[in-house]
Amino acid sequence: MPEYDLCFSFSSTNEAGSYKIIELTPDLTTLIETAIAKDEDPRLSIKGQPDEDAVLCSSTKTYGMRSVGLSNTVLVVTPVPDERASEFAEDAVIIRDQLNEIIELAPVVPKLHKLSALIKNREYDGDNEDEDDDGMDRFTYHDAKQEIQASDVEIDQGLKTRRVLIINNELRPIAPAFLAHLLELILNLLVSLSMNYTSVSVEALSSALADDHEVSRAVSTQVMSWFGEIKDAKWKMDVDGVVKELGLGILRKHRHDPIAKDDLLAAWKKLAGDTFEPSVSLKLLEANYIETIDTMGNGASVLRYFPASELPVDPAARFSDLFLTRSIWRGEEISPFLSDIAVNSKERDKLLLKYCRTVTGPEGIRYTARAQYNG
Amino acid sequence: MIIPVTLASASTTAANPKLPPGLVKLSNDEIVLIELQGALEVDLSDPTERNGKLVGKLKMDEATNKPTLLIGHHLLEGKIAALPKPYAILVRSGGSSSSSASVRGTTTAANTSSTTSTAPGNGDRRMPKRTPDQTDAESLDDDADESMAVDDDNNDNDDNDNNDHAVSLGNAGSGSGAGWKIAGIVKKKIIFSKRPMPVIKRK
Repeated sequence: MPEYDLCFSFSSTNEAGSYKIIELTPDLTTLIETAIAKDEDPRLSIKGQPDEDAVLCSSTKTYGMRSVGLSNTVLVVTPVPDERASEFAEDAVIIRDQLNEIIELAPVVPKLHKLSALIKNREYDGDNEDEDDDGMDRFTYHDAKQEIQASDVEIDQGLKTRRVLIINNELRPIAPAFLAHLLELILNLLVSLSMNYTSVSVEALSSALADDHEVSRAVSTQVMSWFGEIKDAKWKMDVDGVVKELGLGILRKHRHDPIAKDDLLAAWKKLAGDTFEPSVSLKLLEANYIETIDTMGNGASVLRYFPASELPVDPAARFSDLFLTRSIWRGEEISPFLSDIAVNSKERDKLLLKYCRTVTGPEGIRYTARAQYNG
Repeated sequence: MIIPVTLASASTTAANPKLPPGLVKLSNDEIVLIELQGALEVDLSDPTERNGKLVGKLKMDEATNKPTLLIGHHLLEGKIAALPKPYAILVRSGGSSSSSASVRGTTTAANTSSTTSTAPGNGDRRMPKRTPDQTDAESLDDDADESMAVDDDNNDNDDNDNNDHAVSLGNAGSGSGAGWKIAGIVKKKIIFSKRPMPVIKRK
């Protein structure tokens, strides 16, 4: 029976604390094993500021790290390195470290809200300012990669969905009014230049915008990439995306004054024009409005601008805000307002279970606040 | 702040000595995890005294695949257990051995253990054996070249700033730009969960 000497490492005091165990998810396991097999960089990094909880980012996903204590001790044991082999018996193995905790990983939503907060003062609305701007701190794309706790792919995706431009290496969110104006220009140009929206020449469109409307090419190309795909110098427009943005443009004016649903739809269809009118649908504006019955008027449905992106990120605070706005919700009404803080529908259901009380009524299941006080 | 997590390159891995034959087939050919209930307590005046000292004899019965560990007069019987999820073993690379990393988060209490003595080694984690100095940062540029997430500017700039902060990630991870290397992935462990049996050695 083979017998091995188990010894302390030759420098156990120095090595203590230099090992960590991380429990991997199946996809990370595959990622690392493939990287080992191909001798490639797995592109993993741990990101976070000293006051934030650490996250592990691959190139595409973000995982939260939680430390779990063990009541047992785990010894990390390896063979003896060649240079020290003489000090140990032939078949000795050494204890490198004794661990009492393991780090667990759980997929999390990328923490992009910090990005919005950091750049919200630098909105871009088409005015060309001077280059030397009184020494203000510019937040660059590189800064975003360093400071935001999200993977690279998620950061890029986040910049697109949050409509952030990269101008002169600085990240700047586009002013909503300017974006709506740009989209209208684009739609008009598509008609006047009789271009097919499934295959638009990027050069032609951006030249027209630059020459006639003083929109820089950098801006127009980025906006095109948000609303469709650019491939081989051709832009294929994402109709739903553009139509949604047009609808949002109208809805944004009704943050405090609700607009009748029918009025909104009519104005929206008019803006979209004949070609895109069929795509107009209230479902596109999900998570951006609250619908109520106007009891004062004629009983019609009215809508108010209520974007999920402005709600708090922390679940408890978000539910508190949602229930302050409306005390009882149907499942399909409240779910869109949770999709940006829950990784998948299972997580979303867990949040509902944790923070809401379920009321089963004649209209089906509805959700109401759990705590009666504002905790 | 970004701390890169890299792999050891294949050439260095191939050069590393492998575990003895009985253990190599467990799951990883360079690392084995041994789980004990309780911890190893050593009676020492100076913590470095235990360096290189024998702890016990680990036997692997090939027929039944049962491991046993003989420590002094105690025989521990164990078994090979598959881990519910594979573990990645990370080892600090570069930087100094200052205080151990502690990741914030909730801790969960697991099952009770039979012996609950703590090894004196735990105390040592707080004592740096080598003081962090500027040269560590320079030597890390080689590591930084291999890892993609950190660029050289970041290493030099962050050097002194972050040393004072209470870091959620290890101190060595911040200032000197140290990273972590994945030493390997382990899918099985040896766990000794039965009470030790006293044995008397026959002369």
